[in-house]
Amino acid sequence: MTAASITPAAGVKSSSADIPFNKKPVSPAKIVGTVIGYAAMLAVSAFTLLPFVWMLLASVKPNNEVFMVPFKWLPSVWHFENYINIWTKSDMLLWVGNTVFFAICVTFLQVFTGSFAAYGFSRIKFAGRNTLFLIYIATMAVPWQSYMIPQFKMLSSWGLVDTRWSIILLQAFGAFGVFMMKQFYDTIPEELAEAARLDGLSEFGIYARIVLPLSGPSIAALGIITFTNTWNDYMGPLIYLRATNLQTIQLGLKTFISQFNADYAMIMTGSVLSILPILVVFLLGQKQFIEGIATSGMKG
Amino acid sequence: MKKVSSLFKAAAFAGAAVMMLAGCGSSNNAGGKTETLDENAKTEITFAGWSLDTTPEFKTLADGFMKDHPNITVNIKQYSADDYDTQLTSDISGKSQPDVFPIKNLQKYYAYAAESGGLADLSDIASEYEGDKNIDVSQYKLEDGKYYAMPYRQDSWVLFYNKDMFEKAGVDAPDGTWTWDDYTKAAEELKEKLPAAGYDASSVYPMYQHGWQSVVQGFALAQTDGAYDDYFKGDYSYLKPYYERALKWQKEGLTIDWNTVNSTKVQYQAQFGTQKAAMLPMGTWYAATLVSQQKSGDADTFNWGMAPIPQNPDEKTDETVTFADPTGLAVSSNISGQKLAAAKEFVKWCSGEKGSEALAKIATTPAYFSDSVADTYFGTDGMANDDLSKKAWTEHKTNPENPVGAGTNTIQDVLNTVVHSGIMSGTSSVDDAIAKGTQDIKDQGVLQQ
Amino acid sequence: MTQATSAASSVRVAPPDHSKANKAIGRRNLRNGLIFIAPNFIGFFVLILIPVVQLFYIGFSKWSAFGDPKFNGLTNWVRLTHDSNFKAAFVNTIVYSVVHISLTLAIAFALAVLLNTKLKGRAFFRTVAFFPYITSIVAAAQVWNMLFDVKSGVINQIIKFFTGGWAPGWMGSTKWAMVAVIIVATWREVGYYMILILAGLQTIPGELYEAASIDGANKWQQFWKITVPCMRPTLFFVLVTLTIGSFKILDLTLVMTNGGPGTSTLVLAQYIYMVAFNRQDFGYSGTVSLVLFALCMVVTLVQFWYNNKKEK
Repeated sequence: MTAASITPAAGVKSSSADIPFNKKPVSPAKIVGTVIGYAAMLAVSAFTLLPFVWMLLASVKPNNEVFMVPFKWLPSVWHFENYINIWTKSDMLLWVGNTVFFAICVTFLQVFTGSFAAYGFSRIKFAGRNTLFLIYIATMAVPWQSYMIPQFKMLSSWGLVDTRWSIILLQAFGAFGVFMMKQFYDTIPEELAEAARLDGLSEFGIYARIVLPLSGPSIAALGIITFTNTWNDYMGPLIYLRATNLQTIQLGLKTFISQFNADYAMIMTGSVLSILPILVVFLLGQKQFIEGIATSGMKG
Repeated sequence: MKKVSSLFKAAAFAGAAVMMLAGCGSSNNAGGKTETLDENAKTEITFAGWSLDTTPEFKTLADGFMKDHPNITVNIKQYSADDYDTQLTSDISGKSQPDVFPIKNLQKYYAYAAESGGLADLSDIASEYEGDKNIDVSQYKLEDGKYYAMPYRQDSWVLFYNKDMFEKAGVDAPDGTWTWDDYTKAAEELKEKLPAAGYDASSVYPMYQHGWQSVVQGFALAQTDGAYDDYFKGDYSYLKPYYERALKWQKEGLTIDWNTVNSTKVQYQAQFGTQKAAMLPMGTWYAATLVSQQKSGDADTFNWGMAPIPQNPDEKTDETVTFADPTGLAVSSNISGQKLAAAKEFVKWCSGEKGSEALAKIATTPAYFSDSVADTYFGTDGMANDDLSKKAWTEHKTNPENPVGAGTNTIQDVLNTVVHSGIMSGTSSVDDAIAKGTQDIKDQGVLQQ
Repeated sequence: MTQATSAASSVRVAPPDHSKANKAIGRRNLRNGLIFIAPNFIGFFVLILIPVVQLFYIGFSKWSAFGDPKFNGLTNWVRLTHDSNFKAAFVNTIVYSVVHISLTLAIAFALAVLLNTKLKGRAFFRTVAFFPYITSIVAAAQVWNMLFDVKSGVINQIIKFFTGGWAPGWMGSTKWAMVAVIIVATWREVGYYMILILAGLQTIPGELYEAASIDGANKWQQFWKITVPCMRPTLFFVLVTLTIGSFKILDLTLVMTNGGPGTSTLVLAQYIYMVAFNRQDFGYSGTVSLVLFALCMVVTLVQFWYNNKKEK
């Protein structure tokens, strides 16, 4: 465990040379390296965003050109009005409203109950803890499509099918959030909690005053992921929702596909629009990561 | 055995004790008793339809029926066109199916009708239509002689062709007597002459064969004598000549190759509608799409027609044999009394002449082919109305896309994933793929002994 | 260095265990533990665990989704042994998972470490990396199918430039279709796992690195002696969810290749869906699900065991 093989001098030298943005005058080689680094990242970004660019272009194409062979990147006629028409041609506003409602409810419940339960699993040693935790994880290993029907029959017998409750109940109690938060709590030093316990703080006090404030980035990550998954979920609403006033965005976009035809231009328009709310949530959640860097994180 | 079973039940009921109370104990209405409909009682029934904004047929039927029966309200529920059967399977399993719902394809009908107990017996409606030459309800007859659905749409496969392209290239257009060999010959001639007529050789093809299993297998099954028996016996050699032709078309560049069609999601509407293909074997539903796309500008303006589908060159028949699956309507077995009577009345109305007139008006091919329905259909604005098109639409012997039986779902699925995808993608030879598919079907244990 | 590693390892030291000595603490812990877990567990038990348990019966029965399943012993399991589609799906799933997991983990970790530095524009790149995960899968699959097109695709044009004419057949080839699926899956999920790893990286106290660099540890040593041990719980989580997620891959192959050509990209989860909803054979589909479940659990338990061993 000791760094016996490395002389202190050599160590200092190599580490300082590796640190970017240090105060020493920068060499030309370094500048070239940085430029190449950024160029590479920009190239990767462009490559990563390519499907999104295609989606943007497809959303303003005439419908028959979307999947035209041979491919064309640019539309023959630009249909910018698609972005206006979609609001009048369909119930886009209703779909967005419903989906926002579901995503917020599910994210709140998942983060709240998940982080609460995770604290129990991570910090309180009670009998049967490991078995129970393993059962949680085991359910993640079962593909949903194989217990979808038994679950549907159960909710149907309670009269919850085709109601808002079905989607919320279905998604809010998954094992994912519990597992994720537990693993993050495991990284928080136990000494902090021990000290507070000696000071007479209750378990709930420790959770609320010590652990929760430290878990900003992980709660943000769980929130972003749950929100995105609920937002993009297709199968859940597909199985449970039938009423026209409960349709979500992913179901709604599918109504542009009829039995034999599909309005792909509209689907792409809707897809572009449907990304925006997730982007907002992501950018908000991302602040947590930036603040995190200010207090801890790698010093480069 | 018993032990596991009771354990399971204990687990199931631990969480779902309420299930017993929640009124799923519906009376399975046995035998086609005729409920009397009280026209003066206010009744509401639910009706499933898919993609309501883009598919007008459901609203057309509901509105037309409500006009004739002012005291009955039909509430339409929104389903997905793509995943309709997934939704319906869940519904019937949870006993929450709507009062009236479409049977989208015949393939699934057997499982719903014979195994689920979720469909009401409609034999009394069927008996009224039996012997009526304008409508064929026989495809919904089960082995026990009962009917659990009635057709409301009866599309059949025809050959769409672009009259302008044939004329400009100077190739003889279909005359109603074609076999698949004549089809090949015409395609080869078009391939040669279309570039000279001003069509771009690299993107315009003589024909467009869509990627679906039915485009090859549907015709092979319908046009080969005895194929429907072979199907359940596990002999699929009737597919061979049809696949050899399909591969030949692909190899000679007469159509876009299957891999491209599949991976780039080529739309047949775009290929034919923007004159990238001169011939297209497709179901009659496409006529309505083409008409509306020519109006909206999504498709070019050109003259087109429907011709009877080419026939099997190895068999001589006097009539045109094609395949077609009806789209039907079924009634939930969870309802009874006035509601059931109203639901049945609705189904009867949709299958009959009135419903068919309403559908023909929106250029949808209905199930009831009377002369006045045909006149309405061909009288719609923008529809092809030459004699050959009329002949193609009305005169044909229609066989089902696949036989209906206990193993149909599995057989169709293997014939699609192993045989169709294997051959068309070029990953295995025709003989190998058929042999492997046959073995796979045998392994699943669904063949008749 | 010594200071740094001792600080790092002290994080892992468990508190003294009083519970054996004091039964009251044991009881209090049980009560507290249950209180914390209850809100989630009640929902979890009723809505997820009960249906999941039923699967263990369905896998041994004949069931068309309608009515009650009929127990049929080992019939389904015998069928499995000579089902060539199942075997193909099983092998494909393993191949996909092994390659996809290692690729995704390596790239996501590298990106997360990079974006955890004070690099200019890191917020932008972070957003970009997450974009594939939120872009509609239909659009993504379509563009990739275009890029992979054998004749006109950009990818093959580049490859041909280097190989002088030879290029893979991608979606039309039984050998290359899976490669294409893995590339797209990795592209899609790297940003997602990067976010998780990044969240874990942020919980490592910066003082550890400061102490280490004072002690003269270089970046490489810091990475292995501080980052990896402190990240173990997060990495464990990422590894388990990535493994289970890879074994359960469904939507991507469904949209990109639909299992083809032939059965070359057919995976277990898709086979389960296909057998259930296309063939109306939910009993047999349940059997295949149980195999997939067992596969996931074996790998997960090995990871558990390894993780516990390392923590001690």
